[in-house]
Amino acid sequence: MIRKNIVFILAVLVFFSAAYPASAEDVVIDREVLEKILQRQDVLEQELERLKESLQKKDEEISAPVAPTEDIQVLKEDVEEMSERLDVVETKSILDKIQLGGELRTQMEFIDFDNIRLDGQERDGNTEELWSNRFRINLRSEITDDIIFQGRLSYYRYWGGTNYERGESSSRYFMNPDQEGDLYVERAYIDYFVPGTPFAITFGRLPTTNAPPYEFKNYTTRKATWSQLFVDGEFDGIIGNLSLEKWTGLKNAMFRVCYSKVGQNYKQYKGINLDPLRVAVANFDTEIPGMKNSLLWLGYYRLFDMIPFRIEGIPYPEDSGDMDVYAIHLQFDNIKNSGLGWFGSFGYNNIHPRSEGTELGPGYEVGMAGDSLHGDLGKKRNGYSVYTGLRYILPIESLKYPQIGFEYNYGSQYWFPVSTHDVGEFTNKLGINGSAYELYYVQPVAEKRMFCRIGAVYQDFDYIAPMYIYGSREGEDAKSNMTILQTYFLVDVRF
Amino acid sequence: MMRKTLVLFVFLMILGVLFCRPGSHAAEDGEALFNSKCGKCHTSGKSPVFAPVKYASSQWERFFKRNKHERKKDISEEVSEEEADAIKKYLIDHAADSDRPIAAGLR
Repeated sequence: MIRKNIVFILAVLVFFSAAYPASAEDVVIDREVLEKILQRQDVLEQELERLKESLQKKDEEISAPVAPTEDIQVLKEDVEEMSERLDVVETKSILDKIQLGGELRTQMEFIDFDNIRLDGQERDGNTEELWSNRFRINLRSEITDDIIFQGRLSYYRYWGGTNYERGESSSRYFMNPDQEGDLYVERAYIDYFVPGTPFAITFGRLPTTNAPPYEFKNYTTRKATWSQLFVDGEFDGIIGNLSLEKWTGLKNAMFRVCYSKVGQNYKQYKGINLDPLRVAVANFDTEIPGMKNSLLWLGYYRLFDMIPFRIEGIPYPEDSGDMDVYAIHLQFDNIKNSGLGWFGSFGYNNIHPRSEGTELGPGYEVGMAGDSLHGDLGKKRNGYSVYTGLRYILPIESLKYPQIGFEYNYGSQYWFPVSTHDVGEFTNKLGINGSAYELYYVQPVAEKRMFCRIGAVYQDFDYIAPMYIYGSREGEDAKSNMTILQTYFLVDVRF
Repeated sequence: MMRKTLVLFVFLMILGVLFCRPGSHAAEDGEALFNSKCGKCHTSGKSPVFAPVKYASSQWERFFKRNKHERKKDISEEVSEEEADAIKKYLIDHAADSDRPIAAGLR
């Protein structure tokens, strides 16, 4: 608008200058007309001046907009208040050194036994419905960027506080009594990432429970270092971790060595003279190139100087021998985005028992995996196990993508894993000397937060405890027709 | 009795598989999209570098619900709705409060 006015004024001026040329001497103008023209010129000049001022004012306003003073004051106060509040929140956040999480699982199960050998006879039996709770408190603290603490306190108990009584000799198959009842430390460890290097040290009670592939049926992600068939149980020690990702280009490639010591107080306990049991582990794992969410896992460990069979007052050796275990595990979580997951594990153990045993009587000694009754004290034995399974994520969005899974494992006569069980499982199916089958269905309720699982585990024993640490059974004595069918329903919530 | 329960369980499961309406597994690869699409700008020097753990899952939900990115830059031409959904799922799956993988020496 302003510009139009200026143009108009200029046009008028040009018009007048053209109408009245410089040679005014040659033009005769009426005085009255001239005065009118001059008056008009004055008016126009004033108008032009006014427009110039207006334009200048507008330009100043545009270049430096000024809000009303009251608004600015309110905004300043708001910012100050928010800043004070943020300081409080930030302080609290810094002081919150430990992140807490929890898991609660309630389970109902039926267990049906057939052909249990009791007092030389085979019997059948079953339980009424058994209810239990499992509760976990998960802890994490990022002490610095390079020092991270993680822990888990666990509790497991049948409703009403009653526990099933089980003999110690069967703890290899059945739930470890130590894990029932009170809250106990399942894991508590520090990861120290040496700055500027691919090296990290982990020490404490290590993350060695609920290992791959148990995340399939537990509707979660990888939760432990070793594979489930290799080791499942509480494990104290020190691990040196070397990340190979940068050197090899393999995603998550890691090489680990671990040292652990068990039973180191025996020498001071009641005068018992025993060698401490030491464990050395080496492991490598990586994601397979081109296969997203896959895992190739290789491991080896050696148990040095396993604890012998001891009877007070009877001579026994300071240890009963060594054992090597080798394992490989391969896992694909979601093959070509089809919803299908597969895993396969193979474990092999090699037992080196001492030829010296505990003297039970004249000419009768018992040692690890050897029994003088059969004249094979100190005889080396090998065992193996295979463990495989499928998990399929059903493409049903309305049901939040439920999952079905099937698992199978077989353990040979002398397969002897260093594993107890998944806390809350009645039996350690991976410790079986025979075959085990599991079928399950997972129904998500809230993604990764709550799910239900219904399933059944069927175990068919070829041998029943054919090889105690303290001796082995041979022939018909070791064979078993026992079967266990466990059907269960559980609800799991994580928060 | 237990065997009958087992048979029934298997039967119901098969029935469920056969009669439920199928969805799809063909979701976009959220991580790859996050790296390729978001990584274009969110690298050092351009826009702030960030990882999924920067926010908790509910914060990521809010970020997408309110389309907060649009306030700074409209990226609707660079990232389709399907791709945005896949990126959102990836970010939520790996958020600060997500179910993280655990193993010795793993951050």
